[in-house]
Amino acid sequence: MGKKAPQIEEDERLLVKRLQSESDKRSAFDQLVDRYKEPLYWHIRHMVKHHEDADDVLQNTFIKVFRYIDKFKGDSKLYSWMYRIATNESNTFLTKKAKQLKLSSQELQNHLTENLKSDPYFEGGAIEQQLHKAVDDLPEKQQLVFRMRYFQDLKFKEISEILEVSVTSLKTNYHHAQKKVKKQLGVD
Amino acid sequence: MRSGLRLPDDYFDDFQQRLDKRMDEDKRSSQNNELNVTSGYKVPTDYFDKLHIDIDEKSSFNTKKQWLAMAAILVVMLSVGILTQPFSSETGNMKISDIEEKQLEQYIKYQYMNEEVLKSYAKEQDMQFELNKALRTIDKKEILTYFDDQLNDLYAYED
Repeated sequence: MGKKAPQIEEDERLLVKRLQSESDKRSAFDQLVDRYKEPLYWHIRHMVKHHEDADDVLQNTFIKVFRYIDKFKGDSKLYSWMYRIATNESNTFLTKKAKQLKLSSQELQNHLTENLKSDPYFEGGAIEQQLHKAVDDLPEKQQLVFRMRYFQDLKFKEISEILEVSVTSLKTNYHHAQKKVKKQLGVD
Repeated sequence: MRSGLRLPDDYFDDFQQRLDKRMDEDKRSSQNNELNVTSGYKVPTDYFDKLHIDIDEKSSFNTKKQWLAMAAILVVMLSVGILTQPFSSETGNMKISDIEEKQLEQYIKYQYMNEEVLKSYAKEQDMQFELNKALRTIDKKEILTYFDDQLNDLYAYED
């Protein structure tokens, strides 16, 4: 992603046009899935933590994109719009899961992090688990910013476009988040 | 140090096929929910010819009512300090300044703009009275919970 060259922006505009046309919608959608499945997967995975859940939420995200693409007016970037849907779908999933397990959102986060130990798709050790725990303890906005910046390596400019928050505010949030995480990990 | 999360081998290889299958299932299930049975209802002769006259009259009345209701709510919210005090929720540390006018309108519509309720007020004063009564008991936490839940929804499908 990053700062988009005019050619890439033009490609995206054409892709949206095809997605919104009846005749070409399906093939354009396949192209869209191919292009964005991986970054969206990691965005979701860092929110819901477990692979099976991420897979489910990712599919829901694309289904919503397909269903609501006609509502996309091009006022924001396509990937920002999709990230917002992915964030929304992940939050909906987490809320449902918390209700099912009769846990608060904070308790659910702890529960999911605790279960990482037995997850076959988690290859981190105690320190990585501690890192996840420290991130879980951050306020919701800081969690989101920290995950996007630290785990997904997105630039502040990109996060700003996705979350529609100023770069300055993001940097402040990230700075506070980083400080708290370091303190929790004892690397202050 | 990174997250330690990893992907199953070849996960993305068949993702498109699995997604297509899921979308077809979704489509089929929504089609199955549509019953192709007529209701058997009839309408009076000339009903649709006269309908537009009724709609024009009613819609101008209801639009006026909606704006009045929204204005009344905003006035009361301001007067009881709901919109002027910063407050935080358990999850988001959200401030009232985080809530945009568009979202506030959405909330007001969601909470109060039920057409049936609007129709039940014969006079503007009755509506104003009911709104004031409702807003005296309004819970700030309830507003925040609503926004915490809805924030993404409001943004997600519109760009």
